[in-house]
Amino acid sequence: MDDLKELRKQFLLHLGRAEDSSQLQNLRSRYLGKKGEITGLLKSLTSMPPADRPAAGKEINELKDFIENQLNRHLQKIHSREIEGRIQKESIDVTLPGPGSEIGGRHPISLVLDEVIDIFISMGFGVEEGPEIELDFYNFEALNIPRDHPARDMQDTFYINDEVVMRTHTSPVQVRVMQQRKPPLRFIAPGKVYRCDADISHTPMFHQVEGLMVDTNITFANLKSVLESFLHSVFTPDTPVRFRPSYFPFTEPSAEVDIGCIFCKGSGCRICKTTGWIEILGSGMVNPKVFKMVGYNPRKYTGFAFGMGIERITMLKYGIDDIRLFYENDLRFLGQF
Amino acid sequence: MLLPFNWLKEFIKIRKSPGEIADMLTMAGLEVESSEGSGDDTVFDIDLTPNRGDCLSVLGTARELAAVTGKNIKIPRFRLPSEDKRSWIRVSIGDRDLCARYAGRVLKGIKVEESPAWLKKRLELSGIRSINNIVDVTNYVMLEYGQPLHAFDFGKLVSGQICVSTPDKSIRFTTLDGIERLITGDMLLIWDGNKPVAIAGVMGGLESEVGEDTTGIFLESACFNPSSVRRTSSELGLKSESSFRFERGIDVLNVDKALDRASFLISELAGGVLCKRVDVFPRKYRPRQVKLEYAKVNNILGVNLSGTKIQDLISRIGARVEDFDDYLHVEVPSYRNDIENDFDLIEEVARLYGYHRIASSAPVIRVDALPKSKVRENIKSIRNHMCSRGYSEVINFSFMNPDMIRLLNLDSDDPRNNAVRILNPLRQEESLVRTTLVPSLLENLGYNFNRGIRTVKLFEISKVFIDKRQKSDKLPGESMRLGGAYLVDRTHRLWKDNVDDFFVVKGDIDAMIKKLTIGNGLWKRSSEPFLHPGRSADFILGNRKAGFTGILSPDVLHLLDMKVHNSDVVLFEFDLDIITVNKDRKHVYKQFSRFPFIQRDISVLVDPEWSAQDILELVKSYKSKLIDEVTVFDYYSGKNIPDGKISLGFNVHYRAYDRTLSDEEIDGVHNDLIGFLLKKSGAQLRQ
Repeated sequence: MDDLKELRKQFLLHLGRAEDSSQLQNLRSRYLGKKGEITGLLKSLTSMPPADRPAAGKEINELKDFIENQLNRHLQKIHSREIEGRIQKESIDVTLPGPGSEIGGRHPISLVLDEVIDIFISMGFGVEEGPEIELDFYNFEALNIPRDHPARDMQDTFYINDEVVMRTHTSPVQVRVMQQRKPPLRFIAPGKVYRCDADISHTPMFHQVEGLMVDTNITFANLKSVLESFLHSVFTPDTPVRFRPSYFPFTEPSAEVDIGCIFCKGSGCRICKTTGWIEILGSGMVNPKVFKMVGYNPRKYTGFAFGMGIERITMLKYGIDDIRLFYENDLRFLGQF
Repeated sequence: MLLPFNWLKEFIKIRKSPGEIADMLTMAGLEVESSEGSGDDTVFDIDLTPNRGDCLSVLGTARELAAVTGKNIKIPRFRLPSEDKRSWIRVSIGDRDLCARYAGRVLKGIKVEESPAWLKKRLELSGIRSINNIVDVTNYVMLEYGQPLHAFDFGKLVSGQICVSTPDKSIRFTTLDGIERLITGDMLLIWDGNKPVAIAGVMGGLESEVGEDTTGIFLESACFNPSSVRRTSSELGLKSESSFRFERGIDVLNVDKALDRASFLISELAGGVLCKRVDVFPRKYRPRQVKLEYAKVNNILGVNLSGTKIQDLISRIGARVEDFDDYLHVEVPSYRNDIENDFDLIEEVARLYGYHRIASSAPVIRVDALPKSKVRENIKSIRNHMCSRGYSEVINFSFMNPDMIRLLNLDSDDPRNNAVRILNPLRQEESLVRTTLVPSLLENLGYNFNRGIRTVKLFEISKVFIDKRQKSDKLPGESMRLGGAYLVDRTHRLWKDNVDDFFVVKGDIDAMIKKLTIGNGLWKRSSEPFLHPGRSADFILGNRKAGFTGILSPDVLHLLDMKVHNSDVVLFEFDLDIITVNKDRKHVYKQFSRFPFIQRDISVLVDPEWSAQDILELVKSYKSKLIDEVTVFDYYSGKNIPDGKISLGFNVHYRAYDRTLSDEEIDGVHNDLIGFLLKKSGAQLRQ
């Protein structure tokens, strides 16, 4: 069986020279293929004396298994080497940013509007809308602001014509909704409003959120509770809130709502004009004159209304000190939100 | 209103500091905006709400403070010198609706001179310029009593007859400030016989002005109609301390007292003889009577106050009250013109009780699940989509510059020309209301680009307004839009792919449209006059144009103040009323085939009039249930392609729902599809 040893030696020599998977494939056919050397040896067993066959067969089969094993092991080695090479070649600088990785900024006003809306939705308020270019009737008359009344001085108005104005507040939505639906009502009306006024603390357009709740037993104590709850949610739960008398033609009694200055914590600073308080909301019980205007029975229904400026709340939340930043739309500003 | 603290102290005994008083007034509804020390005095700046005209004086503020503290006011006493028996003048009121009361007095032999220091100082602290002792006294008493007064030079009044009425026709009249004004028929005037001498409640005339050589005056103290004064003052564009007070309503029972106070002070400072007071008060004053139910007070405020408590609070405002077990009868004092009904009194109760003492209590409500607004949800999702695609959200004023809309070269019948015009714009550039978001977005783009920002991707969701130009529609059409602008500098891009920016933006839009699941829309070449005709598209949904996207036309870009090289400006605008309002299509699961697919490619050469979308639609129109999906995988023109032709490659997936398909079966279908396609489109098969 010397030729078997020789064959084994020869195989190992060939195997040592094989460098890639195709050469290994060649080796496999040369030794183990249909016309391969091992196959030939196995076929030659038939010409041996029957007594010798088992021993010789065993040896040949052992060599066959050996070659098989060697080939497989080597193939695996070569595979891993080939993959390693490919991996190395394909390597990239993984620190570069992917295309389209830049995200845009949300406008802070739009962010805070969403937040305010979500808080009221969580308290069971619906959301309503109304036209931004509005009839004088809805913007003023129906809200108990007659034409020759000094209350009109409270709002500098852009006029389109005698009967049509750019709405100066979101309050006309109250009237429009009440005209269409019966109580109970519980909704807010967010949107843009316009005043003929532009200086360091005023822009001719800004955003308000109006709110209205009407039912048979709504009280001023309810108004306080709902607005405190809202302010504690939009600011922090420990924010001090105070209500003080004020005047809006469409509410009676009316209340201005202040929060404790969030910058100086009430000790007095430039932002709160040293008072320790910041005006944040207007509110009040719906004036029965407004109820009469929309055909509600003021003896049966009571309700409260409120309105807030979103710019003011946004400035407080993000520490923005100039209202004009909102409408310059500078990406260095917008990119921060 | 500026109010010196020491003056206030003459009307009410208070031991508290100015700071404490300021706080009390603020919490009662008289907001003290600032309080500033000035020598030994402190001046409050009070921001009075328009309903509280009664507080526009030292007396009024003292009264309010008395109500808050439960104290009494003390009006400084004075002794009027004895009067001459004759009045020297007769007064008649022509229109009782416009003038409820008119009192006056002639003072003779007076000497006009500079006011004493104490008077000048009070006026100065109150923000009023000193003129002479006569005019200063009229202002002083106005500040003190809240009653506007006017002094005429008696020597210039010739008829001895004062009449209060409107003119028969428009006339010209020169006021104290030397300006000649046009007085129309509805403006109330004071006449000396048939010669006008003052605009009632607004301003006196130049001719009868009190000057250095004046030796006699006629002092007027009257009550004019608030609306009439306001109309006159705003039509003339003439506001005065006097008109401001009349507009807000004055105390009709205070007219004579203020006249006496001023007469006293003038006789003290300028000497002279007091003539007999004239006082025309044609209609008897009847105080307003209001019934206030105790239960209603508690129901509105959410408190539980006793009748006695309510009675106490209401009587503090100076009202006469009478208790009738379950309600209070209230006689409103003459100075509280703002109190008309029980709600006004409920506010008084709340105010004087203290808003802070009303305990908060959560409302008891019916719990209902509210329907979700699909439109709002969609807008929210668009907003998030645009941000995640790298666009920043902008919000612009709803105004539009007429020059900017002209820049867009719109056709004359384009509805976007029908902008609503503002009568009183702040600036000419803001005189129109937006009919499209494009002008604002171009301005935002320029603003940022010119500040060195090289990746500018913006979007805005706002309304536009189209004037319907029909008399029956008083209000314009309002429609919610999504607009956007894109400019990314080519030279500084990290990933230098060759994708046209048109497609980059269109990809962002296509993804948004898919997200909205609004059904099948079509893109076609856009006819927007401000876009590049070959690189812009309109999106058609149903048979309505829902929006457009495209490269800004080079000739419009040229007109903008932006130096853009080798990069494109892409714009888009969509009507959200169309693309967010899907007709509540039911979202139902559709079964898909689990059998394997067979794919075949087709490459064709077409004329440029044929778009990829046309060919796709054509393939989809081929009647075979086996076509599962068709996609474009190649678009090419140039080398190796005949001139003027475009090569399009499509990949077709065949699949059946009930069996595994064989190549032989598909070969037949596919060849037939190719035949169909070539016949319908005139395309050639590319080998």
